[in-house]
Amino acid sequence: MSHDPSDPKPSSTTHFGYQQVPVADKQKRVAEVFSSVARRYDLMNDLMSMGVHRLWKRFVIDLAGVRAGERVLDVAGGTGDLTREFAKQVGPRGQVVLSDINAAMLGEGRRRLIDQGVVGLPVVQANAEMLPFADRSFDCVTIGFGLRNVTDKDAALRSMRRVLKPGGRLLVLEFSKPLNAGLSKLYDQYSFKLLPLMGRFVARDEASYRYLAESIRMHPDQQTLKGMMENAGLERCQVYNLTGGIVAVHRGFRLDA
Amino acid sequence: MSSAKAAPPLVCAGLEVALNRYLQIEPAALAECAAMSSNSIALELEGLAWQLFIEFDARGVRVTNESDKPPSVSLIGPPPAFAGMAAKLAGGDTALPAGLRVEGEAEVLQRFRRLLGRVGFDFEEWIVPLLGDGAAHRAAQGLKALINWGRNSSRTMAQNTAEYLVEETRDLARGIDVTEWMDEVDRLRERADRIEARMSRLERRKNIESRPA
Ligand SMILES: C[S@@+](CC[C@H](N)C(=O)[O-])C[C@H]1O[C@@H](n2cnc3c(N)ncnc32)[C@H](O)[C@@H]1O
Repeated sequence: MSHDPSDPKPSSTTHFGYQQVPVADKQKRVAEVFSSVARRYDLMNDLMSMGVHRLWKRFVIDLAGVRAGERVLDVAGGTGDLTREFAKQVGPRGQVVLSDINAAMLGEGRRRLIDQGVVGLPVVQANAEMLPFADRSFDCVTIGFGLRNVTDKDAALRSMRRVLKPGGRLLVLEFSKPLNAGLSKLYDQYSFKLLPLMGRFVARDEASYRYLAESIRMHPDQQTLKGMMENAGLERCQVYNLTGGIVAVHRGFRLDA
Repeated sequence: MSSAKAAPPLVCAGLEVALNRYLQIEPAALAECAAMSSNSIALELEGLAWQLFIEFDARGVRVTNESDKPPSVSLIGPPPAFAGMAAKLAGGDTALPAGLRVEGEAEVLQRFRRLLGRVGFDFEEWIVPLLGDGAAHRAAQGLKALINWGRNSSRTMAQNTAEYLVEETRDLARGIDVTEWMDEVDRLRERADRIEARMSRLERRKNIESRPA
């Protein structure tokens, strides 16, 4: 199940949850999932993680240590939770860019930011694999619960590193592998039984939530992702397990001049 | 060196976030960090057998639990010994607290101590919660520790000087946020419990109904 970064480009299929689908299709299917859940995304997020996702995001924000005047890019930013906090921190001299591949999620994100009084920040529709930004242009790049949906994760990591300034940091927040077997079992029960059910009742979209549960299992584990980040040229990579490894934050720096 | 293991990443994160909050107050302190960018310091906490590495750049420090380059200087000792490191210096006493050993460039260590003294960071605040039975384990693991860690660091902020005020207003606001959403989290959790209970009732009923008569 874990991904071997040294693998040559695999054949022309990739996984979509547990299904094998043509590479060209994955992006489209992921888009369908998120277009479908966009409106109820935040509610489902709270239900899915029992509200703990806010705590995980809080940790990312503290660890990112964003300062006034910095430029921050939130990749796969969706409805803009991280963006909103960063916008407060960078102040008027800095800038946060909200980006996502999906227009429906971005639309929802923009609406919510305006509701919360965050206006005037750039919103850019972009694929994490080929970010349309200049080399060395951000102090901090984040991707929250986004990387597992990306078809070519190595390309995305390289692309995110490319846009970092020297000394800049990348933070990846993503579901990961529970550290102990008991928790792992409990978590399986929860995500394969309860989650799709909640998806059916709350979002009226069981299939999308089944995909979410499956995509979490297909995502590389802590050490594999750390290796992939190092391969992409990031340094001082460190893994922070939260909630027993149900999620992990990975952080790495671009250190070359 | 010794049997030291990598310190838990959350412990490194706690130290890094706290140190950077202090260093940020003074532009001169950040300039000093930038000047020290080719140096690094290893801390080895005996007893806990934890090792941490501190590196410097213009933004402050990075604290990690492994490093691929040898540190400029290592500081080794039992956790309480670290507590007095900056305090003694501020009081004009340049001797290291008893129990701390130094391996490597003593000059780098002195610069680091001066830096801590200048921004008023005391390791004590960071070390004390890690001590005591099982406390290290608790501090390193789990959500609770994380929440408390966030709270403590904003409390620490609140205890400090007027220079903080700009920062602080933002962090106080954040403190309110935190309680608010923790309440929300509790409510959600209750709701999820109820859903779960209802679902198992449904499931049980389904099983009864589908049982052959
Ligand atoms: C689970 S949401 C996360 C949203 C937000 N960051 C959060 O933490 O709440 C995942 C997002 O990844 C986006 N996404 C999927 N594939 C992507 C890609 N290749 N490039 C950029 N964004 C992508 C989806 O559109 C979706 O908005």
